[in-house]
Amino acid sequence: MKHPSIETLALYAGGELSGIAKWRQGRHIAQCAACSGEVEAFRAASMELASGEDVMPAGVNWDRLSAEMRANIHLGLEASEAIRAYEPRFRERMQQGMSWRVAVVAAAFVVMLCAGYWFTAMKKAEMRYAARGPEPVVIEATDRGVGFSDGSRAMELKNPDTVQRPPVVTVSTDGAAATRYIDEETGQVTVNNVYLE
Amino acid sequence: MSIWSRAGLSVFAVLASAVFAQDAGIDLRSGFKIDLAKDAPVALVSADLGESKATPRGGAVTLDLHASLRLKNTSSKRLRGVTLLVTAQDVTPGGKGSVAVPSIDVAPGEDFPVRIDLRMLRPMASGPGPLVQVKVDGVLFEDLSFYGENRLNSKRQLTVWELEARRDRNHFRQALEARGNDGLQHEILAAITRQANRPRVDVQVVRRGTMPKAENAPATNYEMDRQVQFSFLQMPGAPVELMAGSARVAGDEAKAPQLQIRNRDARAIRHLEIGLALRDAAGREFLAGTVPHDEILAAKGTAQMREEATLRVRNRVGTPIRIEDMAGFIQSAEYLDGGYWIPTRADMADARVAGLLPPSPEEQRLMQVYRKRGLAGLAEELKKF
Repeated sequence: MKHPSIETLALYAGGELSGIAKWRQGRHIAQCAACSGEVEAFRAASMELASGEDVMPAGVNWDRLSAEMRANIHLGLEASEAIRAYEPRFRERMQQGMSWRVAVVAAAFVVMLCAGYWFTAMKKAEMRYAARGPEPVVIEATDRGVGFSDGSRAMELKNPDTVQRPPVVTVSTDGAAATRYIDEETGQVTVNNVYLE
Repeated sequence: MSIWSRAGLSVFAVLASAVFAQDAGIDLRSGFKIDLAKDAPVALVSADLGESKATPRGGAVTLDLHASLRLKNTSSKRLRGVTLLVTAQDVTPGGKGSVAVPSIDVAPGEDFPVRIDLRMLRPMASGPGPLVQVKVDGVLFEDLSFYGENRLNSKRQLTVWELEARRDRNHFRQALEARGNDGLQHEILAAITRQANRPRVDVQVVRRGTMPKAENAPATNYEMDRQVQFSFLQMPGAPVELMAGSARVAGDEAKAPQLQIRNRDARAIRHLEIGLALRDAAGREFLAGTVPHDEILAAKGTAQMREEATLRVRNRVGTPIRIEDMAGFIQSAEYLDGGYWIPTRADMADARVAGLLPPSPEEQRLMQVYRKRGLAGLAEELKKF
């Protein structure tokens, strides 16, 4: 059974889905305890937010906030006056064409900005990878066979598609798995095993 | 998510930009090597690679190998079981596979089939040497003597299977002798019913570290671990007593099982297999795995077992199974002096034990004989041994 995404469940909980999508998700949610739980959690959270909307956040000094806002507005007005005084000279320079020196400096600045961003992103990715460590090796035994994978490489010993009887499936906590099936043609028992050292 | 799709998706994500149709350039026939020692009691008669193929996936390649081998008994004794070691180049380091055929009865000079269906995902570029190598790890003869490197402890496994085969043949033969055809039919139908009633589950294990998130697990579905104490299934003849045990359980995962055991026997034990049974919210109880103990357990001695492994159980359709309870029982033991203990048919008379213990390979084979050849065919088969 494939579960809807968490976004879809959130939309469903808020009544944002329309027509067929709403009906389809509703059918799944009615039968799935996990998704139904998610929807209930979204609804509860939504109600909690709604009830807390008109309550002022605690610990806010409104007088101080008001004074800061007024000061910022004054500062903005003064800055715009200063720019207006400079504007005729700037417009004159622009009409003469931008200096090539300014263009070079601007381009260099953009390159530096991009390089800095790229190096920081790389470093962060490396740190994330180092913190996460390698993927653990998962060993699995199913009706289809046994196998192991570390996320990028995998090996599986498969039971043939012709197997009709349910195989015997088992795993061992020391890192082994086995599946035992009957070959319909020969009547012979075959055991597929995988092991980690 | 199955490990195969996990691996596939992971490589696909990394190499998505390079997914173009290209020639895998891999010769599967020359890359598949069957390496049988000169003194091995089996020889290769034929090897058919049938529909085997290599499929490129960007910078990786999927190999689907379907090998049908015929091996010949070149020894002077009847064979009871064979284990082939299967190693694959460039797959997760330290991992290997094996294909075993227990419960066979191959006379000198006769041949028998072995089927290997292997699937691998590996980088396109590989080192020198064969892609897949097959070697004999062990051969068990009718007198319980053994040949082989035994790198996979094949001697122990093949011997346990052979002892179980003798026990089960004996059980069915006694039913036939004591109660006639009706008695035999009653016993084989009981075995078939037990097999049919066993819950079918997929099991995953991570030896260390955290189990990766399942494919369809809800993003916010976190469950706190809770400590669950084991109950124990007593088998009067078992040489080891389970004294206490617990594991951390969260949803469909059982983590870090711990057990205290005591050897009741006057002989030291070299290896012990403890079955781990789980019970789900619907009350179904099933064998999820085994916890092996590979240290010597002195006569009348005690030991503490601690594992870091995590088990995860899912229904066949991939939905999680909520674990409610756990139980442990002794599945087999190997003594230091080379002897073995397996549950007797008297131990298996307990319905709970019988439901949890998997059928032996021989019982599986005899059930198939009954399905294909009927009661007369089964009775005839039992007279062969």
